[in-house]
Amino acid sequence: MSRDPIDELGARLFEAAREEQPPQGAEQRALEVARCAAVSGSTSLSGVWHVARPKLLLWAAALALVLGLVAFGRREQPTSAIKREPLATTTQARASEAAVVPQPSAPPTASSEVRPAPRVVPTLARSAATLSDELELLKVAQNALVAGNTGAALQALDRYDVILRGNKKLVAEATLLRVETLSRAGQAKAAAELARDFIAKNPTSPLVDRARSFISKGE
Amino acid sequence: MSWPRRKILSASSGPDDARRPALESLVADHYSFVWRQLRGFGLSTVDAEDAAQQVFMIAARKLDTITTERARSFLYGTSLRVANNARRGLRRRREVSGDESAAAHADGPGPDQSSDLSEARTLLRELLAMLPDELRRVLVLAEVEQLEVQEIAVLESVPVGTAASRLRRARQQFRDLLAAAKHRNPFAVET
Repeated sequence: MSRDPIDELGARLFEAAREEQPPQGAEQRALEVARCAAVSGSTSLSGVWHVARPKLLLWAAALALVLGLVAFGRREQPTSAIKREPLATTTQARASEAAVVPQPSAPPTASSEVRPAPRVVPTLARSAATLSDELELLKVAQNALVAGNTGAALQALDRYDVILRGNKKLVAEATLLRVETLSRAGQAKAAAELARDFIAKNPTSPLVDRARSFISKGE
Repeated sequence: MSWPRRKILSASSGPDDARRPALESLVADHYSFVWRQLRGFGLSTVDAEDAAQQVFMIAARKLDTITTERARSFLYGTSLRVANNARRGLRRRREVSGDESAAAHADGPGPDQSSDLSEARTLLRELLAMLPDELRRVLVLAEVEQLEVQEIAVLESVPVGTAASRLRRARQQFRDLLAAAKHRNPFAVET
């Protein structure tokens, strides 16, 4: 007995739906985003929503990188007065890449001596920020922090703030890194104030909980 | 400050270790199912992908509470909530912008899709959208996922009898709608 044409049509429509596949790469993107959410502890899509777009996938990787390095780079260090070196700026625009030449850092001392900051070859002066540039500077800051050199970390963060112009994508991560650096430099009150300011300006950021953790330390 | 200890990418420690999925296997085993459900709930391909990301973000956050046996139920329930939120948001945006056309054309055939299949899926979505939500859901689970009534009852958290009754009504209503729209048969051969 032949099948009713309506039933046949219905079956073919459902077959078409069964055969529909997600867009290429969608599963991998979902996994990357889920990993970021697991690290940051947030399910807010406000900062992660557009990670689905292939060209912004790097953003999620950068977030995981910065948060992951901050999470595993904690180390107690002796409180010391930090004298911030003046920013290395140029009077001429340069096109060459920055070269951070780390100097051997002095061993921690009980005195209030400042660790020598790495000699930074000024570059990328007021250049338009690309995601790679932002990542590079934040990596420099992170590596300095992990090495216990909060002065160098703050210097790299200053360069991030001042030298890279344009619509930067990792501002929130840079701010949290600065909060952590200030805290580890013994400037708990400054860290708390910056954290409070961050939360006030970014109430829905996935990094709010992390920022809040520095407020109680400064009180 | 100690970073909150969170078993992120692997099953958490505890007596139920073997029964808890890792994030990677959760995504690999269930992504297509979640995505199809979101499509069945009426979302476009773009919105379904965004919603699927949100579903797995929520799952990642609650990985410690998900067992392998209950993973699909958890993801199904989460997908339903996320889809409802997404649809509310879409309705609000359309009300504000007055743009009804964008959604209708959001799912044109992709480069690897025939126009017949694309039209078939569009027709199916339109017909499903005319069904009450609870009937649409069971119909999609039965006809697209090809689940048994018992499995549908578990996912929908209803007795088996209720699931069976809804499925009967869903099939009948869908058939009636399809009969009225048979002139749009995308597989009809033109003579």
